[in-house]
Amino acid sequence: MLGERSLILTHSDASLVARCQKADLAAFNEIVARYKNKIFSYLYRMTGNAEDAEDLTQEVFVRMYTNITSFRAEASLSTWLFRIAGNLCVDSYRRSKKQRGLVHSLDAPFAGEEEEGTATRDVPDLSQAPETLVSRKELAAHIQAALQKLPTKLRAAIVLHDIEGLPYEDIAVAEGIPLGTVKSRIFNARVALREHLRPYLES
Amino acid sequence: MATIRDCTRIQPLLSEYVDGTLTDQVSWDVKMHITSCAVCAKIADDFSATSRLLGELPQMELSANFEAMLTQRLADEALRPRQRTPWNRFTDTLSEIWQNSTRRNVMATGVAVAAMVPLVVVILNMNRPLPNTNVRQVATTTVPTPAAIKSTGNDTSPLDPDKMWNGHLSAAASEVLGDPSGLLAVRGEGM
Repeated sequence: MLGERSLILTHSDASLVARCQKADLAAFNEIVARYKNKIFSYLYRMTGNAEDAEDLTQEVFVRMYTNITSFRAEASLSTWLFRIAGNLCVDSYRRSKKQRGLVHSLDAPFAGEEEEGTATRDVPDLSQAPETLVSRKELAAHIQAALQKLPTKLRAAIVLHDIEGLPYEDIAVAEGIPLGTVKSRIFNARVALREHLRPYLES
Repeated sequence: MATIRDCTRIQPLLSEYVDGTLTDQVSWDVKMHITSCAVCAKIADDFSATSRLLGELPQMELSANFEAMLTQRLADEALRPRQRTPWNRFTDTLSEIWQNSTRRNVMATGVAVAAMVPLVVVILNMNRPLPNTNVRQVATTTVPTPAAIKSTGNDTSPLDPDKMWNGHLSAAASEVLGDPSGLLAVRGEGM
């Protein structure tokens, strides 16, 4: 049943893309409505900043629209959108590094966590007993902080899989990496998160 | 009883085991191992719990005017003059042709024919008879140059470059015209 529903959605995506390629704005708006939250969620988890994530989300759809004629049906529309989003993340990361005059590897943790003014970037005191947490909002903040500690490549893989629900194969296409690399990155991300979130796992 | 070697083999598989992407046989092996290994069982539980925590994160909300701003941004993008270089125009034209199946077939056929033309030319040239090589033989006739004669010391007459050069030319001409009498050579000296 779920498979049939996925098939129907996929067919709808294909027809929406075909209409979009003929400059059908209504089809474009429908694609935006269908995927804006998923793309925004992914970009928020990657950047840790809602404003940046929203700006990048808009850019994803602008790029989608301007390059829709070059879209090939080998990948699904959602995978293609995540690919655009991932590339924009990398560009954004490099631009921010350049502005700060720093050179870091993409394997290093995202330095956005060092900026002030964003609660999600504050590294919580994980020595604090988890039973003092009173809301899911605080737990979410701790999880986001743990995600920010991950290298960008590991963060992308675990977010796409555990939060966005993409299967390994789609992640491989979205990231442009082999399947084995996807499995390896997810494994390593979980090893790291297990350490960062240990108090919450045990509770 | 689980051994360290078993753990080394099993632990890298625990992430996929939690995600249910292992084959039945390998999944069974992992399951059998973690029933007797507390360490690996704990790791599997932690992986599972981590995955669950991430999956249960609250959905983030976009701002209310997201789509309005996106529409504005698209309008700005449409109004921005596009720099079309000759290469852009060429690739855009190719792209348009390629998307039309009939035109695509015509273009593919044209490219195939164009690729065959050099091959056909080479094959035809291979079958063509070689031209008359008399001139080539004359051209390879060795006539000693003044410098060569000087170096061998065979010339006892005073060196006259013009005479030597005319002699060289006349010898070549007599061979071409098939004149064994040497009259042409005599005439060459008087030139």
